[in-house]
Amino acid sequence: MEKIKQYGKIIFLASCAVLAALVWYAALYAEAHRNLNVSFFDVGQGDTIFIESPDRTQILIDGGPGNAILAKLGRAMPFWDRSLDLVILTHAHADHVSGLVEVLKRYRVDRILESGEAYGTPEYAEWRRLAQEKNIPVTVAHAGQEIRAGALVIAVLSPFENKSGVSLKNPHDANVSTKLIYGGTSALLMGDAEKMIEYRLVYERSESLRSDVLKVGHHGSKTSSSQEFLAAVSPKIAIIQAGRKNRYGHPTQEVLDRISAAGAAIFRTDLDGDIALASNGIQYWIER
Amino acid sequence: MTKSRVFLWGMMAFVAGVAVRSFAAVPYAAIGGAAGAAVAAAAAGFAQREKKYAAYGFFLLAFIAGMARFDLAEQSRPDLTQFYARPSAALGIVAEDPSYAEKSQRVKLKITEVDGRALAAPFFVLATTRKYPAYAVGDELKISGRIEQPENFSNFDYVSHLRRDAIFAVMSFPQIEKIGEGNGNRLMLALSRTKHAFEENIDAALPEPHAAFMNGLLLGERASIPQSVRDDFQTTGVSHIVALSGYNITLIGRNLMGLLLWFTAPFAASFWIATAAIFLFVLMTGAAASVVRAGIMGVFVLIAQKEGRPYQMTNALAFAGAAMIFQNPYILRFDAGFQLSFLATIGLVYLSPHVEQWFDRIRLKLIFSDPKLSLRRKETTSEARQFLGLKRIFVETLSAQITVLPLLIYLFGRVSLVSPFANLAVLIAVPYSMAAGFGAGAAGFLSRMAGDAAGWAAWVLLEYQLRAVSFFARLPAASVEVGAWTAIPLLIAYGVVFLHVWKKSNSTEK
Repeated sequence: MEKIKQYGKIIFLASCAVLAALVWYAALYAEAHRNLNVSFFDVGQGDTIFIESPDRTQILIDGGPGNAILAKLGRAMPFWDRSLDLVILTHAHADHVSGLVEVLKRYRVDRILESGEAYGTPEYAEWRRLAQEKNIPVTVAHAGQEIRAGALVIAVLSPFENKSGVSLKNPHDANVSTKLIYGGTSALLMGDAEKMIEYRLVYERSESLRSDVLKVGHHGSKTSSSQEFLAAVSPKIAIIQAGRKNRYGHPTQEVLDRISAAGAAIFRTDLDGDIALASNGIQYWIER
Repeated sequence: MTKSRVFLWGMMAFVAGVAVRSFAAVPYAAIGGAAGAAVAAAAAGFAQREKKYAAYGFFLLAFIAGMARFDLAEQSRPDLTQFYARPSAALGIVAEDPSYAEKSQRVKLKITEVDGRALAAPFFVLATTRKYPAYAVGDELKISGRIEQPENFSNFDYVSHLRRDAIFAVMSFPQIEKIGEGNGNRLMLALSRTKHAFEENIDAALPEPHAAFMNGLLLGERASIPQSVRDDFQTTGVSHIVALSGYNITLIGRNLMGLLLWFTAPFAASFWIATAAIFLFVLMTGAAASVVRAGIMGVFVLIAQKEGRPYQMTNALAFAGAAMIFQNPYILRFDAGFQLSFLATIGLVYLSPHVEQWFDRIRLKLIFSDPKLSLRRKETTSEARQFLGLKRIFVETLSAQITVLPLLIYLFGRVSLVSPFANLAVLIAVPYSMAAGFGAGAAGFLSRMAGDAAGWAAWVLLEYQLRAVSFFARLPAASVEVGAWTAIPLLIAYGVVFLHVWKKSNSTEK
């Protein structure tokens, strides 16, 4: 009792300070989320994209190679929030799925979208095991699907047919490519899609390819980003997710030249760190 | 020379013997000759009641015993030449929880069967394998690949590093098939499961990097802390808080003690409860040899603070050190964690009273320089200051830092200039965040909500610490490259100061 009297004032002041901090936190958080935010995290050699719409829909595409994604998500989301509305796996390579395994362990995931292509690595097996254990509904991705979350639309462009259970020589051929449409702005997220997918998109759906922003396929490798495809998309901003001094030499100069020739400004996670793209439905910009 | 002095120097002679032998092989003839001389001296001393000679004989014997202990450890290595460098299929049981890196895990296996033949003498293998699936202590694995002899790389003595943990064979990305689980000591398995569940509760209650930081604070699991954060910790000299060092364990024990005292529990009871808590804690973290050693050192600091007369525990501390080295002679030279932990303990036990005196003297000077202002301030804030324990933290950090500094320079070739300040800023919050984190981990067993609530309190404290560390790490010249050689002049300077203080304290005692 004596002690409570003694520290009463301090405790009261501390409680006030905590309360004030929480109000500020909430206010600043709301202010920062009036727009659609798309974060391209720097997690080394691998992809991971976090999308947060103004109505608080949270979507994660790929998880990068290790658990670096966890610290990035911990920073990007409010500290009490441990749930994601949708997780999209573009394909089963370790530099896309490994981090997602950690995400499944820590976060409540409402739904998974993936191609379901059978790929025999321990990382992918662990991902499937966890999804099953946690009873997360899995949607098999194929072209033509549309996901709507408020004003945000996610259109699936590839794979072109249901690849569930099919074993491919190159998992990139079943890559889940998507287009984000928010008001009059758009971003094309190509995962590790290679030229085969690009050509088919150009021939079959060239009218819907045009986008403001392009997440360049396969970390800027020369297997992707053909001239024809770039011309059809004609992005103003191109984003490359690659690791610093990665052993594959991504992105290649050839691809960088092609993108520049197509007229896009290039942002790279290996040079620029995390890249935050924002859109209010009319304008889009890279946040500094 | 008193009996207790003889005992102390005997222990030190033993350690010196281990040290000498760990750097160079000594011919058996020389050891035998010395042993003969030692026995003769001791016998002659006893016979003629010439205590001095008996003591010298005893010291020499202890020194030889140290060399012999190390030699025995060297000789007792298993002969694995028949297994090296050829493909084999082995059966083994996971001996410890694996350690994780970004894309891989390292599993220590006790191999019991090779190519269908059961082994009379099982041996350990350290297998590096993919991160998934994760294995746990007690898992039985069928593992096929090449068993290799470990080799040193660049300038790291990997062979000795592994030998310390009784590992003489490694495997790189073998084929692994899990065929069973739950082998081994029931108690250890249960504790390991508790630890994992506890970790999962922390992971559920906190986002990253806070959860990894908390697991580092509470369990010494620092592998999952992001590299950038670990670099910042290194730069600011606060890495020790996420390793299970003696100091870390002291903090746990003492904060529990402080809490009990605050609730007006009797002093002796608080002390014993805190000690018991440390014991349980060591068990829970898996009771790895390094953690047991840290626990013992942590208890020592508690005792020193309980007794308030550190010099009386010199013998006990020397005995504990010698016993640890006897148990595993390799730690003396090849275990940086042991060295740092032991030096920090010495700093906390012996140096902190001196540092506290200096600190008080400086503070007095400051007070006298401006009596009006300072005296009033002292009156109003002394309560709060004691509550936060600012002075205690500062004194202890400085003491521990002074004793480990030469070793840190020798190991890393760098000095963190911001270290005392960064430590001060961080350590204020460490006890409270450990308490909150422990609450989150424990409450998680009861309900997710309770765990989350404790997690939020922990988050605020951890966020503060992470920001403080990041702030100090970004200061110019936070950490300076000085070159390992500077450890030598520094040691000489320490020697001079030590002699000076020793002389002074001897003369004042008389």
